[in-house]
Amino acid sequence: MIEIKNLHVRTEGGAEILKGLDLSIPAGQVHAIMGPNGSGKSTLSYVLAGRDGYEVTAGSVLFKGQDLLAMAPEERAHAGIFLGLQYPVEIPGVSNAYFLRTAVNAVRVARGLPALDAVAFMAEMRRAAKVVELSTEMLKRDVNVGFSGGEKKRNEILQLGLLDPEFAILDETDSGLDIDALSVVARGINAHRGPGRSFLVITHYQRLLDHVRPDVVHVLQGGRIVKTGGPELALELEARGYGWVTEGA
Amino acid sequence: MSDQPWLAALRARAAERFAADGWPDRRTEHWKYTPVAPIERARLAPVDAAAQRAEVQAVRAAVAPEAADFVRDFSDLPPAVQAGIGRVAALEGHAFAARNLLDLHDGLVIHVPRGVRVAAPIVLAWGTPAVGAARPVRVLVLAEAQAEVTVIERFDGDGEGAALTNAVTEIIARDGAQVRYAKAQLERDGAFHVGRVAIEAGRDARVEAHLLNLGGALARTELDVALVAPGADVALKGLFGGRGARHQDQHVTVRHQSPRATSDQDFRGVLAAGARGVFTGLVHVAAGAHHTRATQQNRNLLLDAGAHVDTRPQLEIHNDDVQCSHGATTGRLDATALFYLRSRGLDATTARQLLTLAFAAELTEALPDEALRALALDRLRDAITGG
Ligand SMILES: Nc1ncnc2c1ncn2[C@@H]1O[C@H](COP(=O)(O)OP(=O)(O)O)[C@@H](O)[C@H]1O
Ligand SMILES: [Mg+2]
Repeated sequence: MIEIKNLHVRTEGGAEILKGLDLSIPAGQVHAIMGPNGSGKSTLSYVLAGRDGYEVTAGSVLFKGQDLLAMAPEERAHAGIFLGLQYPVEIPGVSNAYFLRTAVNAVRVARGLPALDAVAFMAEMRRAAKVVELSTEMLKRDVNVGFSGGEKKRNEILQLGLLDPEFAILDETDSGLDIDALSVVARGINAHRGPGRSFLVITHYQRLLDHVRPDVVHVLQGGRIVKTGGPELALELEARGYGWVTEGA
Repeated sequence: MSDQPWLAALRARAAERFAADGWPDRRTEHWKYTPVAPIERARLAPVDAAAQRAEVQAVRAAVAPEAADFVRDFSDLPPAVQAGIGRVAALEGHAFAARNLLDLHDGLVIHVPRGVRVAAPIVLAWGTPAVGAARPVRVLVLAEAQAEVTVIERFDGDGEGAALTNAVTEIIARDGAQVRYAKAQLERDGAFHVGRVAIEAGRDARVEAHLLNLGGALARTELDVALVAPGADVALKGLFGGRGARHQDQHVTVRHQSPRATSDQDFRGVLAAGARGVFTGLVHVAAGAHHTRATQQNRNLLLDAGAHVDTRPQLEIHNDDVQCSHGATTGRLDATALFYLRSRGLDATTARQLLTLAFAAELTEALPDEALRALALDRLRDAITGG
């Protein structure tokens, strides 16, 4: 599904953040990336989604065989990439429902599907909102404005459900959530798992992975994947921290 | 048909005033940011009496039939109504207001008697001035005690070529009256528009005035508000800007002359590719105007490096038991929000339009007329695409 080779990325300021990152995620698998604060996890997610402000100085990213890095952010969304942000953005003046419908129809039309009319979209939205237990009240409000941390993250998973991506990157979707919100979000993610869809779950803590069981766990440190293992690796990191990973290397 | 004697008298006064003041120039403090020279250079000729009367009749004839009874021209005005003309739009220091009277032969008066509620909005659709013409437009809205009315003035632009609209609108809201007013300045690209909206709000009167300053090459509207009795409440909401060679100036003066009155100003500019905006706003609180509440906000969105805005919010308070706030901000579209929208599949232009409309949403949603809202949204979208 996604093939990242020798990825080097620096910021516009010139700091090198990713220094030769390799990662390959087959269709249908859930991979987790863990790593200390500042190790470049969010940077990786932004580069995959196409945010400005980062320069790829070497390496390649293939998504279903296409050169992902050559595509605009919206083209990536159309092709089936989704990024759930660590900090979802507030957009005063735009209602959540309008935003979601505009997004869904932009993606549908780009994929050769007919746009949904208001009635069909409402039905679709209600169904998707139920999965993450978001009330219709939240759909009428402006995008993420006045939402709690948990509501913002549930709104991200709602978008995941509506946009039907093939590859979803979730950047610290668990951070700042209490245990109830975490289990709602985790259930939302699990509901969208399937053979045709791959996930890259970025997290700082083991606890999300108790709910969303990954197929593979990677450790990102110093701008590279320094260790790869099964779900048990997450437990080990939780118990021992990150220091030991590179000490032995 | 010759002019009414009262109009001839007003005109004589205006002539004296204009002879004394002359046109403003860059040294005139109130005109510091807006050049008048391009208007003078265009050598425009005043529209003659017959043409003015014809236009006034055409505009009047287009008013919705259920509201038409409240709209009169200058012939045959009751003296008490006629006395309202020129009452709140002072001439001193206002050369264009003097010029408006000087060139004036007819206008419209909306008079709503005491306690009467006019349900249908009164839409005054001023057409496009002829090329080379200087056109005076004059309106008086006189809402007697407890009356209610909505008045919309539209200045649309078709075709090409220089022309000047010099529009003076006076709004008198007597005790407990409720007036909603909107002025849509959507003149063509080569046109000049200088306008004045002078508002007097009486005891517990409520006036809501919307200004869409979105057309023309050089456009200025002065909003002069006097809160003359306790409990008066005036809200001003202005949206200005556009794309390309435009200069749009909003010059606001709010005078709190009486206790317990409220005024709110919310002006937002959206400017792109050479457009220039000016906001000057003064809130003046007189010595006896205790318990005044006044707010003043100017927010500007510059869509690219070619846009420019000058903003000067000012407070002048001669009292200490008041609640006044003011502020101005100027910024760009939020890059993070743009990325967020694009990552959800919106193309760059759609994302920019959505954020721009969102910036103006509180103002466009408050407009008293659906057609006006659609026009404003179109102009804002064009500011992004250059359409
Ligand atoms: N746009 C940027 N400009 C400058 N520095 C950045 C930018 N984005 C990230 N960084 C820096 O890159 C490093 C990695 O950040 P980030 O990818 O957010 O790490 P993580 O998500 O793993 O905590 C940090 O030192 C951060 O300060
Ligand atoms: Mg991060």
